Parts: sequence; C-alpha cells; structure tokens
Amino acid sequence: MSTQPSVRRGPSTLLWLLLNGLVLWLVVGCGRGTLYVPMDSGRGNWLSTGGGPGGVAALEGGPQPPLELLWSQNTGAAPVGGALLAGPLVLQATQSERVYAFDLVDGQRVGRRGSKAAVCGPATIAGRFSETLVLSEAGRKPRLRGYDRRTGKVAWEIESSACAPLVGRSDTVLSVTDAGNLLALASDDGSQLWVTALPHHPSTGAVFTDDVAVVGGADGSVMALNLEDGSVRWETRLLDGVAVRGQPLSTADQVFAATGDGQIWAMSRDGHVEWSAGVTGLPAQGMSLMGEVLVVGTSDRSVYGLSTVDGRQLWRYEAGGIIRGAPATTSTTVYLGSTAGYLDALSLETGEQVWTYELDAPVRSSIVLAKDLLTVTTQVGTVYLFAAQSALR
Amino acid sequence: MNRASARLGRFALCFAIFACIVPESGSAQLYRFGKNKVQFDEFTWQRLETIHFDVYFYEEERELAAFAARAAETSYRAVERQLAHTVQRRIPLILYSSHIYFEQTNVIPGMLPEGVAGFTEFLKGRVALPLSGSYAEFDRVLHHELVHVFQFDKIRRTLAERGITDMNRGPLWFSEGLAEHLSGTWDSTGDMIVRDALFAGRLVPISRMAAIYGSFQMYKEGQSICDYMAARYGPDIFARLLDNWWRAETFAEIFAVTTGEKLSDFDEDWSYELRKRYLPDIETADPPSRMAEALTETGYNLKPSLVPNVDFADSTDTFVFFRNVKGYTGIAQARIDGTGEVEIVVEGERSADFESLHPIEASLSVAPNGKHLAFVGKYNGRDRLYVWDMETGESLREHAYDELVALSSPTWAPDGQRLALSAARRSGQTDLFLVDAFSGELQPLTDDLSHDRDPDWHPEGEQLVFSSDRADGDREGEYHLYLYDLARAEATRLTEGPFVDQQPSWSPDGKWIAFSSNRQRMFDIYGLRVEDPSSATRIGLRRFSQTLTGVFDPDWTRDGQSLLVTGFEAARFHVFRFDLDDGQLDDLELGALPEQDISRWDLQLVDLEDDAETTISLREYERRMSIDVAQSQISQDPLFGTSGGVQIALSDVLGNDQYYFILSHIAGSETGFFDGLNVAFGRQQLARQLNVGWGLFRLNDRFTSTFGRFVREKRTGGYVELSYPFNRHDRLTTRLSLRHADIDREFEGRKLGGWLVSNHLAYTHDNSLWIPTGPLEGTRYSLGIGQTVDFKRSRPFNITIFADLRHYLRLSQRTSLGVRYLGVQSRGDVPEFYALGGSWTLRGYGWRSLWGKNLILANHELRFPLLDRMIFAFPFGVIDFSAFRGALFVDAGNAWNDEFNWRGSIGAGTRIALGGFFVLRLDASRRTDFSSIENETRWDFFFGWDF
Repeated sequence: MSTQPSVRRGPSTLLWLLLNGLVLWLVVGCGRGTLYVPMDSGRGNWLSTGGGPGGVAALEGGPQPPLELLWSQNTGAAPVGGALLAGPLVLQATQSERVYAFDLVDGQRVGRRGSKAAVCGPATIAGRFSETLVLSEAGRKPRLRGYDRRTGKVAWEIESSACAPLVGRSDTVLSVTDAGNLLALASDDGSQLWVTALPHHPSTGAVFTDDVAVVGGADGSVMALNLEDGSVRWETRLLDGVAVRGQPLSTADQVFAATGDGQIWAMSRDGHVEWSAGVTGLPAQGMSLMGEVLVVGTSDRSVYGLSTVDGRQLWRYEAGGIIRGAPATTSTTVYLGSTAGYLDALSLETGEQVWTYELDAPVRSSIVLAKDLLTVTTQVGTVYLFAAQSALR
Repeated sequence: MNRASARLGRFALCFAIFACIVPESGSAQLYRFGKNKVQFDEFTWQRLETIHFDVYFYEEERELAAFAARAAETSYRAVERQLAHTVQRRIPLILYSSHIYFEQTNVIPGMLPEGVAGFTEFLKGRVALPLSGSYAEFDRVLHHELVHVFQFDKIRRTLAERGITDMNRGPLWFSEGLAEHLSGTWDSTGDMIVRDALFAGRLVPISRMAAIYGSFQMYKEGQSICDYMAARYGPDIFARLLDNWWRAETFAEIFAVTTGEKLSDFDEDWSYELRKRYLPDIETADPPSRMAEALTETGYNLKPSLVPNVDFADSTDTFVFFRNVKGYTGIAQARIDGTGEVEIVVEGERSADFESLHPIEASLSVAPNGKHLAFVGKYNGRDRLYVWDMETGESLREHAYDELVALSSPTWAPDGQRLALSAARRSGQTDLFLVDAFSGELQPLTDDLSHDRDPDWHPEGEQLVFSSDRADGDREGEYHLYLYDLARAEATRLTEGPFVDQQPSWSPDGKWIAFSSNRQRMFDIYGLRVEDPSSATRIGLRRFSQTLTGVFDPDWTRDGQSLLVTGFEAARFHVFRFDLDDGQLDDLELGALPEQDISRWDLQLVDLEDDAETTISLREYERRMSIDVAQSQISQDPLFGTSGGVQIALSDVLGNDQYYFILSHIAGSETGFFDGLNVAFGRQQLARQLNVGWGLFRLNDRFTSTFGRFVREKRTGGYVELSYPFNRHDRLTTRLSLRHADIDREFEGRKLGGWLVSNHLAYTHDNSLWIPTGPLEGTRYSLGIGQTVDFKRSRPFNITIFADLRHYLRLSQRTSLGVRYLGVQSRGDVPEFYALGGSWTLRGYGWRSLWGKNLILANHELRFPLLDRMIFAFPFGVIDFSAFRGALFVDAGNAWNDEFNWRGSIGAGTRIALGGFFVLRLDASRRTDFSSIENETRWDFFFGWDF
C-alpha cells in the first residue's frame, strides 16, 4: 500500500505561508536589510555629545551623580563602539552583524537590523536631521553604507574598507580607510566630496572641529586637513616609530593626541606642540575634556586628569580594571567604565570617586552623554541608560 | 612552551579516550610502546587563592608559592597593561620546586624535556612551571607564560565576539617572540643566537620560519622581530595586532591591516637592521674557531674539565666533557692537543642509571689523582652523585639524598676525598654542600634563598669560588663571584656590576680565577687576579677573550697557559683550547665592591594564612573536575546504518585523576534501542608511581575486527588495570577484566557466551631515540601473556603469548637499520586471531589480508635521508617538509591457523614528515617466497611512523 501525505500543500497554502512569513518578517524586523525605526524618531542631538569614540564625550551641565538606572537591555553580543543617542532612540551596533534600536524612554527594542557583513568599526549618525546611520561593514566586499533610519532602507553605499571610527555631521561623513585615505562623503547621498591620500598610514579615525579634521598616523604624526577640500593644513611628528593611539581630540583652541608609549600631547590649532605628559599603560580609545581638565584612561587601570594648560597631572584615579573606552565628562563629573565591570563617577576637580554602579560585565566601549542621560554598553551587550536623579525629580 | 606539545596533548587525549576505556579482547593490544612519565614523588597539594590566580603548591615549596603569588599578580598587571586586555577567568598556576618534579606533571600527557622552563596549556588555560634555582628566572618565565595566557585569551575573545569559532593562534614565532619580548629585555643570549645565525648564514627570515619551528633560535628570532616591531610601530603594536585578529585569516594580512605595510617588506627591513647592527662587530671580535683551536668537530660538546695527568710517561693531558653526537648525551675524553680519538667514558641517557646527565646545568670534575671522575646523573626521579673510576669504567660510589632533589657541578677538593657541589633542596632552594666522596656524608655550606652554583675548589687551600645571585635584590638575573672560606664558613664577594659572572675556575697556581661573563655584552672569559685567597684580596681584572658568539665553562690547562672552553658557533657547542697571550689581553678596572653585608634575599614573603591585606588566602586542594574534551560524532555506514555518540573526558586541575565517558548508539535496522547502546566509563589515577585504571562498560561491537573478519560481541562488565613504571624506560602492565559476553563469530559459524575473565600481563621497554619519521636508535620490546576463561563453566577460552622486539642500529648520523621480530600465538577453544598485511606490517600484502591464531613477522629496514628539507611554494603559501627519507626493506612472516609457510616481500619506500606528528608513507614492494620474486610491483600508501 502506498502511503500518501495526509495534507496536500497546494499553491494556495504555500502562498498563505509566504504571506505570513513576509508579514512576520516586516513586523519583527529580523530579516536582513530591515531596520524598523519609527518614522518620527526625530532629530538627534548626538553631535553635541559625541555619541561614540569619535567624538568628545563631554557635555556642559550633563547628568550629575547619583544616577538612576532607567532601563537596561541586552543585545546578546559585544558592542562595536558606544551607543548612539538619536532623538528618542538609542542605537547600538554589535559584533554579531546587527544593529539594535531601543526606545529611549522605556528601553523597548524597536528595531534590529542585520547588516550584510560584520560591522567593522564604530558607527555614526549623520545628516541634517540625523537621519542617516552610517556603518562600515567588513567582509569580502567591504562597504560603507548609509541607512535612512526613517525607512530602514539603504540610502547609499560605496566600496570602502574602513574599520576606524566614523564621524559625521549634518552634511559630511568622514572615514579613514584601510588603504590610508581620508574620505569625505556627503551624508545625504554618499557621494564623494573629496579624498586625500594620507602621507602616513593612519592609526586613528578622524575627528573634526569647525573646518578642520585631525587624523593620527602609525608613524607618530598628527595631520590636520581642511574640511572643505581635504588639503593638508599642517602635520606634526610627535614621535618617530610610535603610533598615535586612540582618537585624537580637537577643540577650538587645541588638539590632543596620545601615542602608544603612553605620552599625551597637546598641540595648538596650528600644530605646534605645547606640552607632553606621560601616563602609565596604553591610552584608551579616546579622551575627554572639560574646561581645563583633559581626562585620559589607560590600560594601567588608571584615569588621569591633566591640565590642558601645561599637561600637569591634576589627579589620578585607580579603577578596578583597565580603561579601553573613552570616559565622558560633565561640568563637574567624569564618568568611566572599566573591565572591572563598574561605572564610576569621579569628581572632575579632584578625581575622587563620588558614585559607582556595578554593571553585568566589563566595559570596553565609550561612555555617551546626552542632556541628563548617560548610556554605557557592557561587553556582553547590555545597554544601560541612566538619568540624573535630579532630572527625574 | 611550544604549542605543538599542547596540540599533541589534545590529540593524544582524544586517542587515549579510546585506548583507555574500551577493553580489548585481544592480548596484542595490551602493550603500547613509549617512554614513561613516572610519579616518583607524591605531593600533598594545597591551593593559594589570589585576586586572579589559583596557585597550586605542595608544603615543601611554601616559600616559592608565596613568592609566586606576588610575582604572578605583578606580572598580571604588567601584561594587562602591555596588551590592554583583562583575563576574566581565574588562572591556575601549578608550581614545582624542581625541574625533576616538573617532569612528573600530568597537566599535559607528553614528556617534558629539560629545556622546557614552563608551559601554558590551552585547554584549561593552566600554567605550570618549576623553580630552576633562580627566582629571577622563575619570575621571567612566569611573565612569559602569562603573556601566552593573555595573548590567547584576547585572541579567543576577539574571535568569539565576532562569531569566529576557528581559533587561529597565529604563527609560533610570533607568540613565543611576543612572550620573550614582553617578559624580558634583549640579553646576551639573544645576541649570541641571532649574531651567530647571522654570521653563519643561518638567519631564517619570517617567510621561512617553519624551518626552525620550535627551536631556541626561533624563540630568539621571534623576540628580535617583536623588539623591532615595537621600535618601529610603538609598544602598543601588539595590542593593536591582537585587536585586529578577527579581520583576516593570516598573520601577514592582520599585520598589513594594522600597520599598512607588507610583512615581507618588514621582514627585509628587520634582517637588514640586524646586519647593520651586528656586522660591524667582526672588526673587533672573532668566532671561537678563529681565536682558538677546536678540539671537537661533530655534535654538541661542552663543559670541558682537565684530567690531571699523573702518568708522566705521556706528556699530553686529556680532558673530559659532555658529548652528544647522535642524540644521547654521554661523557667523553679527548687529548687537549686535539690529536687522537675521542673516547666515550660514560654512555648516558640510554638506561635508567643515567637517564639524564644535565649537560647544560651540571659540570664535570676529575680528582687530583686523575682517576676519579665526579658527575651527576638522574636516576628514578632523583639526581645521584657518581664517583666514577675512569680506569675500570665502573662506578665506585653513588650518593643520593632524600632532602636533595637536583645536584650539579661537583668539584674535587685537593685531598681527593671531598667534593663540593651545588644542590637543590626539596623546597627548590639551591645551596652549596660538602660531600665526603666515599662515605657520602653531607654537610651544608650555605642555606638561603639565593641561587648558589658553579663551585670550584682552590687548588691548594680551603676556599671555594662560586657564582651566586645573592646580591640581585631586584631580580634582574645578575650573578657575581663569591669566595667561600671553609674555615670561617663565610662568603666574600669578589665581583660587582649588572652582569652574569659564572662558571669560575681557579688557575693551577691559585692566583687567577677565570670565569665567563657578559661584562661587555657577549659571554667571554675574564680573569680575576687574587693575591690571597683566604682574605679574598683582589688585584686586577683582565679580559681573556673577545668572541663574536660567546665562550663559556673555562678550565685551565696544567701549565696555566691555556684555557679549555665551550664555544658557541654555527648553532653548535664545541670545546676549544686557546692560549693566553699577554699581548692581546685587556686589563680592566675593578669596580668597587658594595660595602653592605651579604644578606638573604628579601622576597617579601607573605603569610600564607588568610590575610585581607595581601588578598592571598590558603585553601585546601579540591579535586574540581573540568572538561578536557567533549565531542560528538555521527557516522553513516551503508552496511550498519547510522551510529552516533558523545565522548567526554574530565580531569582535575593537576591531571592526576581522569575520567572518560563514552555514550553511543548504533541505529542498525536489526537492533533494538538497548541492543545498540554502547556505554563506557573509565577512570585513571596517575598521582602515584602505580597508575590505576578501572572502568565499566556495556558494548555491542559489530566488528571486533583485528583480522578483517566480522565478529559480533556484546560485552557487559568491568576492568581494572595497573601499570607500574619502574623508570622512564620500563614498565609492567596488567589488566583484569570481567565481562558477560555474547560472541557471534560469523566466520567460524560459532556462537559463544558466558562470564569471561581475562588476565593480561605485559612488560614493556622503550629507550628509542626518535626523529620525525620514527625511531632511529635504541631498543623497544614487549613481552606478554594473556588468558581468558569462562569462569562459571571453568572453560578456558584461550591463552595468548606475544613477544615484540624492535632494535634500531645507528649506522651513521641519520642512517639506521631497524629490525622487528614479532611473534604471537593464541591457544585454546576460542583462540584470538591476529592479522598481517599492509604498510605497518607485511608490505606487499593487502591490509590485514593474512590472519590466524599464530603470527610471525620479521622486518628489516634500512632507513636513510633523501632530502633534509623540501619546500613547495604555492600561490597561497609555502609548505615546508622537514624530513624526506627513504627506506629499503625485507619483510617476512605469516599469520596462520594450521599450516605455516613463509611469505615475504622486498621493496623500497619514502616517508615525509608533516608537522612533526604525521608521516606519509609510500612503499613499493614485490612479493617473494624466498626462492623467486614476483614481477608485479605493489604499492602501499598510508600514514604512520616507522615501526
């Protein structure tokens, strides 16, 4: 006796299944290429807070300790860079080829997007309305992709291999490529504004202030380029044979950079070295600055407060673990995460600990501030959002 | 330590799961060749808990544990800083107070040569290391191993976070070079190795580093490369490389992504930099062979010691020295004028008596009568002091001491009755001792934590000169010379400075002390002029040699005009004699000696009891079991269907207690669920000299095919196995198993069953010396007997006896004749059957095509080198074969039941070693009945080492 299937799956059944699958795919947003982001996610203010290791994670005012945990959410994978605060959203790129979007208010996951390849370096948000999420993707065909966060679609993409932190602003995205170029793209359509072949292999991403972009080199040089056309404005060799480590930091008056031998350098806006100061261990991925205090974390479990005037050590704080991400500073407070798995708040003036919070895992990414909010992501992928208690009241 | 051993360890472990747990039904499987790791000493382990470490130690090494706890935390912080990485797990640190104890460790299954100063095991991230006597060296090795822990933890995490499961550890030269780079500064030894390689044209570029895989040269070249990387790209280059580890599959690609440069360009720049640095040195220095007369030509020769000539009829003095030409170290004697033959005085490392002569650490001394040679040899887990009669070639006295583990550098007193030597106590503390050469009475001279070594007795007085790190408070590895006055029982310092002053030797008139020192970078010979040994008055310091690559171990000739030394050149050690020429010697200024008294080291020992401030806590050792191997497997067979299962191996942190578990199921169409279930559990206890194993099993083997025929046997029972290694080479193994068996011998048409008891007993010896393709020299044999009885019915099943003898006769450096004679016979109602045929046994006949209850096999094989190295360059990379060898063979034998007739073959073959543990074999043979040879050539292509 032949056996027949009890249910025959005809074309209509298959169509029904396909439709169901499609709806599920769109709603849950787990399919590749889909990022569900609310249309009204609004304009981000991330540019003023840094938003990643590429920026100055410093905010006048800013949340003051003690902070209160608003929510925490786990992405299940280690982060790539710090979280991005974009209007009512917190975006977090992860090493699992996915970017997560959380509601700023209640932490609900409102979107998840699978990128086509591993996210290579810290992402950025650019555009006049902070509408473009820019990711650098590794893989066989490395790409820079700009996603319209209102539609979730790929707005533009270009071939480029770049794992250095990206940095963007309303009209421009800057990318330091593995081939040693500094690439300026229009944030709305990804068109190339200019490209400059850097004379020395870069070891950092770019940072910019006003009309100048700054890049550190593997040969110990720091270069400043005109944002308008990419021409080199000045170049200063800090040290022979020691790479610039972590992101430089650029303000209206000074440029700061760290080198792999543990030296912190301050330069004037025209590239003259004003001072250098030694710290122990390898400097972290980024520095932070508030007023006349430059804050530097190191692999020696130390955080240094240095005078921006002469490099004098104002204070030193020993954390329980090494510091790899950039600290963040407010008018009175330094926030830092370490591999000990704590979020510490220090007095900007004295370096003394004023508040601490135990996280679920070590921290290797940067702290990000926004108004009265602070976000930190641990190495197991948990995104924490804190708010100042005073603000909640 | 090199990672190959760790890899081999895992491979061996997987293999051992099957070998240990599945009870065999045939006696021939009982023996396995191989040398023994013998637990001569039993330790009561304790655990010290620090912030990041679990330090495992035994009571005798309490001081070492306290030191290690502090040193480990200090190194942890340093490596964390250097690599910008935190290891989140606790790190097991297993300490041994002596290398002799360390060699007994079960943390990894392989044998540990004396050159291994410590290792990091990757399965569980354990670090094990011994104290060699020097706390500075211990500190450095500990730092080296922790670099490995951090390095691989960072790689593992970087890859895991990116979802990459294939653990690419990178090239060995990089991991070892990085560990050397971060754990110490470039020193005289590094200079010696790299400079010698450069001048001898043996410097190996990065692209061909596989050619020196695992060698000391690879370690030092790797360190030199990492030094150059740090100088060129900054000290954080290594943290950056490891951060980028996920971005590419090869080290060259990771390097390019990180630095923006090609590794091949960097390679060229590095070797150019070395040439720039070292080539100018040839203007002022010479290799030993150009400044002295070479007294040896082949092999490795070191530690010359003059034999005082009491036979005035022959005016030519001789010297004794360690010599290793063919892989075994022995003691040899030669004439100091370089004429005549080298004679072997003591053959070492072939038997338990002289398992090791410690040629690197120890030295030799001949009594003033010119007859009595004092040396140290390892015997059954302890060093012995031997007083050897050089005329009769026999041992006069052998002294071993319970409280002393390792001995070295005996030196005769002028009276020819006493000896002084350096010895390590059970705690690892190395001091000087006085020994009555004939009664063995022992008297300690020093008793402190410093490393006292290389004593040499004044030719007439009651003074010893020795080398010690007792003033090296900062643990920089400095050694200075001291004078120990026996009458006053005091040591007086003789030299100063940040140097290694070692191996002192009194001149015959007692006015000079020649010693080896790195005072001017390379190790050269210096002379310290001493006026009055009793007051240790120093007159002057003179440089006796200026070599490119280093000389060591000076000993004076009788006339005081020449020195015998060990020189390093072209990657070999040889004995040289150079004449002291006043015109070419430099007088140097003596530095002022520090005024402070000689004091014990301040090791900042901590109280091992719980102490909140030190964050060190003492805990009892708990046998926490953790997984070594866990793997699953599914296989599909067209005949038997699908089968699958899991294998799990667990062990404690010391590897002394091991559990194996196998669960599998054969989903054959004819078997029910339980019928197809295979379960086996086994335990091995290795902490004592008597190794005990036991287990339970329920197995349904569908093809217990040792001879290519199907047998079905369902077995349920248990076994106990005892293995007693007498020494490194010999062991007795016995196994008792009780099982209920249902046996279906299809080929005989018989079905049998019942409760069977099997007893097996085997004695195995193995002192073979190996090269990558197999044994080259030595002897291996195993003799055994086994019996199986149906004890309920008192029915004898079978008795099996076997003998397997293999001997390897060395014909030249790399050529040998290997012979194997194997005989097996099984008698009884239900005899076992054995198979022949194939590349491993009788070549020219199909794989296991001959079988029977009787077996005889004779193999004769001439093994010789064809090509030392063969490099294939492909677009994707280079494959480097280190040994390509040939063989000519004659095989004879058969396996039979009733009628015997000889079968044989002759032929030739080649072997290629791949990766140090895998050998491809290709044999072409023709069958013979010993009256004629067939015309057909048969080919066997297989893998495996030579028999």
